[in-house]
Amino acid sequence: MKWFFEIFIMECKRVLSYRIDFWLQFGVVVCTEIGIAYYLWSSIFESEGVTSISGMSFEQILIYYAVVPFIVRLVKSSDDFGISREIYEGGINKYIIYPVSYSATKMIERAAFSTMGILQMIVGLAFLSFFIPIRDYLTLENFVVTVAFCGVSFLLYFYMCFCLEILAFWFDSVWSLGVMLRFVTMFFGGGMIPLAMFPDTWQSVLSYTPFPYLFSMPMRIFLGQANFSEIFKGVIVTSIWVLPIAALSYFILNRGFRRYTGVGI
Amino acid sequence: MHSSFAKMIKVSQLTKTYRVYKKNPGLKGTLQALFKREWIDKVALDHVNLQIEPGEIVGLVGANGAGKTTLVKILSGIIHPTSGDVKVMGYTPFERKYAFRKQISLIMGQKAQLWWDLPAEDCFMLLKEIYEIPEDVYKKNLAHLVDALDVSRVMNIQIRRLSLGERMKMELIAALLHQPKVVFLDEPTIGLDMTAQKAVRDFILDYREKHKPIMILTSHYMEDIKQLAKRLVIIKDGKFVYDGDLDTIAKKHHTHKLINVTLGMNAEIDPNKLLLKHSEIIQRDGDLLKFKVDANEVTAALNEIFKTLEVSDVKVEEEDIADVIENLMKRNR
Repeated sequence: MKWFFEIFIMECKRVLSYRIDFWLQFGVVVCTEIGIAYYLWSSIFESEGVTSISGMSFEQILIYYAVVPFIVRLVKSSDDFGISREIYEGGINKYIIYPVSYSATKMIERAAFSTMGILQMIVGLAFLSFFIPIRDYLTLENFVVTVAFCGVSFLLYFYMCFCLEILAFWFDSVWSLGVMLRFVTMFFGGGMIPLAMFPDTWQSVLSYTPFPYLFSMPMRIFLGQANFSEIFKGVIVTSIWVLPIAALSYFILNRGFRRYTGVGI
Repeated sequence: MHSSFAKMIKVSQLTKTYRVYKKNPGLKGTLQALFKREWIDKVALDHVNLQIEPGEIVGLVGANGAGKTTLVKILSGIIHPTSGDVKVMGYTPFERKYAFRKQISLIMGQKAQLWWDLPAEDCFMLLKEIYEIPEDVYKKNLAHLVDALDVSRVMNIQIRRLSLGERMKMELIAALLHQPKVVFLDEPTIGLDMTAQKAVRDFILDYREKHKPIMILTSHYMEDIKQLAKRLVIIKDGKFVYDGDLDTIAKKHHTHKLINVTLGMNAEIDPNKLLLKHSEIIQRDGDLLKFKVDANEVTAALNEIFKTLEVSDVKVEEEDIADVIENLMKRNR
């Protein structure tokens, strides 16, 4: 089982081997999101003449948009259609030959990518705290619990994504399905708009789905808006969602391997 | 359970059919395919039988699409067969049990298996853990393989930055680190220059001598097959058209022989104007002429040559094995 650890280390090395890409790509995403959020929400606040929207002040909204890309990065990891590409191009062959579990290998690789995101998050938040009052909301305890919860959310998102990507055994392209998954999870998970801004009925309906536990719940923990019982409930509910989705992914994977034609060799 | 089957491959009535859809050309065909697709079954392997004993090196030869790579994919567990039985060391490959996977390896000349962004040394460290190779065995094996392939200088360079030859050598090391009992080699020398091809062949031969694994080799380079394989399987349209010893294939299936003639010093006859009944000139280099002759007409052809030309030396030899194999494949078309 030491290979788990070696794959983790190897993926960390791989991510870090592209230094400029590692810092620039993420920096651009964060800066763009904050920039858009700043101009969009400042004009909304001005035109409406209000000091808060859905209980969130302009400052809180700005912090939300500054932090949520880091949370999304930790939860979604390298969500780049890599699994479906391996099925289409035959990269999966080596994982069939090597005595390792394909799903476990992919999970560890993505976990390593996410773990490197913690480094980006620490440096990024430290930098942003000079411009945005992040320190007023952030405590070490909240940060640690947020990152820990992101671990559970990561599992949930990984298996959702994995289920969809391995449909590549059947379909010639899963790109559009992947884009749909990204949009749905980002929109209903709080990656685009804080869920607090959704109508109460929507929020109530969403609470029965796995989406709020992807990005919204970690954000609430980060901002100190979630108490212990909510966090505990969040872990339980997320785990309950993970189990059937993971079981479904194993079922699809096994069926998919039966259809696999070993392209690429 | 598996010890009695160790290093043995048994295939019986193995069939693999791929289901592919047919699309008519042009925009109309593309639009039609959006609503309705016509599926066809393509038979890649058709009820083939094969048994391989411990230590054998088997060369699989066939045209593109003949079914040789499909056979390798089934034997290595990458794909499921449509029907038939297949056992490798007592295991059913497509069940993909870890114990089975730990004893095989697959080298694909056209597909990199190592991690592109990492140096080879890091990749090997990972494989050490994946195959659970003890530290001392790993160090010993790695040192031997690195030395034999002369790649110590490039161990710390990213795989993506290596030349094709160096990368292939790294793939070989990666595939053999855990000393597999069955090695599948799919076009191991493809794209390599002559020197690198020879180095890879010599290394495989040396490895085979020392470790005696079963090796199944597919290659379009007949030199690979001639140098490495003792047994030859020729596949045509999913069926085996020949399965036997490489050395005897020429004796059994040769259709022609080659006659090398050295002309005498004062030969005045222009060989280009010769019309020989029993042979044809296939090569001329100064005073040297090479005739291709039907295997049953060698004596008649020699008489004719001696009568027609002033000959100082003559040598009759077997047709090149590559030509024999090619003829055998053509005959079964």
